Amino acid sequence: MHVADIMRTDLKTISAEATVADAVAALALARVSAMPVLDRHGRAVGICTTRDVLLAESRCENPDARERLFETTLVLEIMTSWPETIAPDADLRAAARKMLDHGVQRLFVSDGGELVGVVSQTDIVDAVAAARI
Amino acid sequence: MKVAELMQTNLKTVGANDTVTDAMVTMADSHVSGLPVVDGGEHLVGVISTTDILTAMAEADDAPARARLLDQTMVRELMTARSVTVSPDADVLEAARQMLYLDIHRIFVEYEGRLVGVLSQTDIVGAVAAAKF
Repeated sequence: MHVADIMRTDLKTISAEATVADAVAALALARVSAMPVLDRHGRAVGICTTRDVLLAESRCENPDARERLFETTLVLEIMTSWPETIAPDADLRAAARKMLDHGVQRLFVSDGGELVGVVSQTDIVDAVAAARI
Repeated sequence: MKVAELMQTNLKTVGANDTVTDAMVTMADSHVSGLPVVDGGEHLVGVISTTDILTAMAEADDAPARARLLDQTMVRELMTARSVTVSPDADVLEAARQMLYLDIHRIFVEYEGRLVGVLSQTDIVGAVAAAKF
């Protein structure tokens, strides 16, 4: 089985110039733990994860610092740099290994430089549960 | 394959009466996205995840509300109480189906009323990577 067989293609993205408050709202609304971050030209420059937000938040020493983080810090400043991607025709086991090697919950799927989908640990567990692996 | 063969047994926990900040710091330090919540007697009383915290944060409108959430709210107020558990003798596929059905990333393993381990989606992805399925 290949990545393309189980990947999701309905990607939610966020602008690099959105605030952390915008990112919190967007992640909560979409019920996802990570979103690709796009620059003003629509290029993927990083990902913003719930972990990035909570890590930045846990480093704020007082309510003022927290408020600055929320209202004036941009996604660009807290995001994780653009991660390793995987090709749509890669084998699922290769995707599983890559997730573990890089310690990530999901891999974005790139076809010749174009972002075409995302495959998560949950998608792999789903394939296992359905005994498709 | 049995749950006992894949589960992790070195568990980080958080107390039901700890603050949300305590939980966030423990999650950040131990690189996990969810923690079992225990009472004084080390019995499992619930689970708290980064998603629980992020969702509550998205609902806090201003700085005082956020400060209340992080510094004065106790873990037991945000956690999912009485989480579903699985037996170490259960089949991994059954545990996988439970996780998908309940939309959770990890399931705690109880034996005779004691918390003995946790099985996460990552553990299952690890088994796929190692071609154990």
